[in-house]
Amino acid sequence: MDKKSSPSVKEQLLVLAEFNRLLKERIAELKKAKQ
Amino acid sequence: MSPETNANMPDNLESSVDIAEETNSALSDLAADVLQPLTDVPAKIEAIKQETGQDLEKLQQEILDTAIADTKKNIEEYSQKMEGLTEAEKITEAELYELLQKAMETAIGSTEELAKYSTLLGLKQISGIAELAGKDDDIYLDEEEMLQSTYDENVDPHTQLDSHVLSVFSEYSSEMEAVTSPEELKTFLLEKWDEVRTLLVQKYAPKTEKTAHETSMKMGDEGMMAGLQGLISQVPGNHTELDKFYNAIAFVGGFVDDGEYVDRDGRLNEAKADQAIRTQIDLICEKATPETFNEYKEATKELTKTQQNEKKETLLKSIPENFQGSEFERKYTVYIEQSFINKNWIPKGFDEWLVERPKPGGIGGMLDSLKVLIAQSGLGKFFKDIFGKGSWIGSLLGYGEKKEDKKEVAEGEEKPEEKKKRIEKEDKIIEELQEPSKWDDVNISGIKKKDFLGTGTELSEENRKHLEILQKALNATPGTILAVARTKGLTIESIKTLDEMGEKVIFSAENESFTIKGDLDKTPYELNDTDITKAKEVVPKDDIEAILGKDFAKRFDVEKLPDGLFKSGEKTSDNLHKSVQYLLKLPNTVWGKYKFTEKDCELLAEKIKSGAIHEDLFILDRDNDFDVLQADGTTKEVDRKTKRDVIQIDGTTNKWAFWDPWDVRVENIETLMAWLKHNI
Repeated sequence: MDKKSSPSVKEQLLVLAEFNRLLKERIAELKKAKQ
Repeated sequence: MSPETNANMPDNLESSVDIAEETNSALSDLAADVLQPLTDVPAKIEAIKQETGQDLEKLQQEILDTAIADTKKNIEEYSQKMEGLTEAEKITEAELYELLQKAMETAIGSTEELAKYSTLLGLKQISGIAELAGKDDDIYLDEEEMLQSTYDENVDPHTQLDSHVLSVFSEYSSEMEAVTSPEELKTFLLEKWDEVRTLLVQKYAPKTEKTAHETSMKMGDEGMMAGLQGLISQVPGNHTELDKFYNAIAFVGGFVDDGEYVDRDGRLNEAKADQAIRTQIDLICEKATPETFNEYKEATKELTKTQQNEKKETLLKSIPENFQGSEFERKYTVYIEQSFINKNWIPKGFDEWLVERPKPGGIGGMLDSLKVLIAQSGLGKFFKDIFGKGSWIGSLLGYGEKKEDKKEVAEGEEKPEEKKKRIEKEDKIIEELQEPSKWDDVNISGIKKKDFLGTGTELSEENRKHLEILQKALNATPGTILAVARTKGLTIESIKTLDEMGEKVIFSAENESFTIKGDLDKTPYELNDTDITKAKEVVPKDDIEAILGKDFAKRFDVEKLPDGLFKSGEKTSDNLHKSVQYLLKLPNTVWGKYKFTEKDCELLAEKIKSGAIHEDLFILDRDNDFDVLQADGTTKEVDRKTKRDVIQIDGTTNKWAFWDPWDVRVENIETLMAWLKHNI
């Protein structure tokens, strides 16, 4: 796997995980604001 | 897998195991509560291992596909399927982009591959966010292109290139955050110049040498954008294409005469321009002492929410008349709203257009453009510091020393340096007060905000209840109750028209949590007996009366006020007082519980007449703005100096203010009236 030309699987999974976590945080904030 | 095991493996297998370990390590980092969609992945790994043996590449792809699919599903769900959210509250592509950027920074410490990830997740490419992530040329202008395609407009290829030129400076403030010394400032500015120079060389290449941008542009029929371009071309005098860059350079710090940098053959005289700009950059960096540099840095900090709102308001107000009501305006308005909600950046294309739009001719127009740019950048203070002392550009920009500053200070008077310190201190207080919770204990003539409006920016429970009841009534009898959203641009004339139509309900929709049906400003609904009957079927009688009032058709009649009462003084004052009449009248209509009696208003009128009330009447609302009512019924935020005056209101000044009764809880209207009677 050429890490210079494309992100590794680990990197991609970490990014996706963090992205999902941020999404959930944001949703929680929105829901809280709506209550 | 242990290192001992690895040591006994063939190289190729060891490599595969490394990959497997890497994958498993990644998965172990994903706590179940953090990455819910992927919690079944370990089981999946095992299952695939059983099926496929050592086919780790396939395994990885499966895992990744699962993660991507689940993430896409989350995006879909979060951005489109959340019930109960207004359009403004829904997560937008811009925000998803921003989240992705943050996720990359946190997870792998780099945003270099932002474009790849966004493509992977099917996110729309959004220019402003992409620029934050580090100028990926593959990502830009999708939103603008979408808008352009709506009108199938004739796009001048040069305009596209101009957009690139200005885009070099579009994130100037945020990029400045990374600059930590005057020396770095020079490097930074030179890099900017290099970027611009490359673009300018392209622009001023002979026409036969079509650029990639030119060849990629489609040419269509006339449309809204073509009309806009036509307007721009009317900018008078020597407003050449090169001006745009010089404006941008001016934005960085200086003016360069623009008449001599294009040779007869139409090419940019690169050496000459380069020398001139480098000279300017040197001058800027010489002036950027450590002290001014720190202030410069300070000025580049992210704008506060209030400042964002001010900027948004400025941008929205700048839409020319021929855009009003157009599809373009609607889309751009939504776009701007979203942009400001999600990130403090201006949509690409709009800032450029704002700067280029027709202005009063000559140097004045150019200066206006420059001032807009400076205001947008949040760097006004920096420019003032750099150019404020005697330079011709400073005086053109209004930063020159004022004559009164040079006057000798009489004994007992405030010295200029003392005044400066006092103003800085007050500015700091004002900045701090932009935080809503800081307002809770602000005391206006004996009434604290929290005692009057409650805390925070939410509607009081009572107001919310009433709004919900009204909503219910609206749903039950659509088209029967007139609802006016004050924040939707209500004018006095429209209120008056509604008044003349007879029975109806007017309520403020500020901070409302529901969507008002229909275009109520334009097509008011009349309330008839049948509708009232229907409404009563779903709303308790007491609530109906509390909302509507028993006789709201017989509200206080402003026309009965003494002739000329509101015509004294200047026009502004006159208009303001007219607005006061409506202000006094409307809460009565809205909430019904407390009636502003004719006697109340006469008392107020007498006080106004006797000069007890200053012409500046401030309405402090839940947004913690300092609004002043205008003749058209809209409010306008006052300047910072006036804010300071308002903060100092303590009975010793002749200015006065009160918390916006429109926002006030019903039970406190009486408190307000008691206060008014006591104070005016």
